[in-house]
Amino acid sequence: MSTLFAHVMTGGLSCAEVDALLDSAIDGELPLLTRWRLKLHRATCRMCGRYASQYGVTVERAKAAFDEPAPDIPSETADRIARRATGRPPDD
Amino acid sequence: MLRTARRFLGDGPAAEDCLQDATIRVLDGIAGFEGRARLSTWVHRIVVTTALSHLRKHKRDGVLVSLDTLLPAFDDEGRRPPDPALSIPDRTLSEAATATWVKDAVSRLPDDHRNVFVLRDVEGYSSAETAAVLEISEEAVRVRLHRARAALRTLLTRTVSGEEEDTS
Repeated sequence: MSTLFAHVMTGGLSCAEVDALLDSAIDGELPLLTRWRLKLHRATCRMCGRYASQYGVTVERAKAAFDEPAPDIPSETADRIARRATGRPPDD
Repeated sequence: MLRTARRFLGDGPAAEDCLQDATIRVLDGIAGFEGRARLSTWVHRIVVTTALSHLRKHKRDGVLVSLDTLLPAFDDEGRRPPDPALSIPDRTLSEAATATWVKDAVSRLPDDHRNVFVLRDVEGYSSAETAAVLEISEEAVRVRLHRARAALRTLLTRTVSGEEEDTS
């Protein structure tokens, strides 16, 4: 009975199954029922709760790290591309 | 275009070479552009495929991490074992994950995982688009993305804990 209770209270999911659902959860692709099961597991399994939270922070920060304005193209590179595109010789 | 090239090839001259090659490919192919996608999407795809081609031709320098040592382990019943790193507060992790740190960590992922990470999480491609560009299955995209993200999380906790990253 206690095993069944623990199973229900962890959303009927093992920690490994929770791990496999994290990306779909981040991408908002989980069906409502699975979302609730995941939420229940995270609430009752402290380690999965912490892991999922750290995983989310990592993904968020990793995405943000590359979110920067487009760099200027160095003039030498722009010249090189223009010469190659137009067939102009390097000394032109 | 240069920003995308740098996301794959880093800030060195390889990204500028890629930009040059991609520009030529765009100019060569523009007459055949059929308008089935937006022009910007078509150009972006050319930059991505050119960058991937450069990566295949020129193996990257530097030490890559071994992913197997960075992924979570579970016991026989699928339970997550205790891990002291889980006590690190989110805020501490967030502050440690500077842009410089993230870019360095991502650059150390194996190419097949890094490319999936860059396409999905940085360039915003869907799993299907990523699978098409890399010529792998969507399931492989999902697995590699998960492993890449999990590896970054472990590298981040190890950095915060002051542990040496496993670079074997």
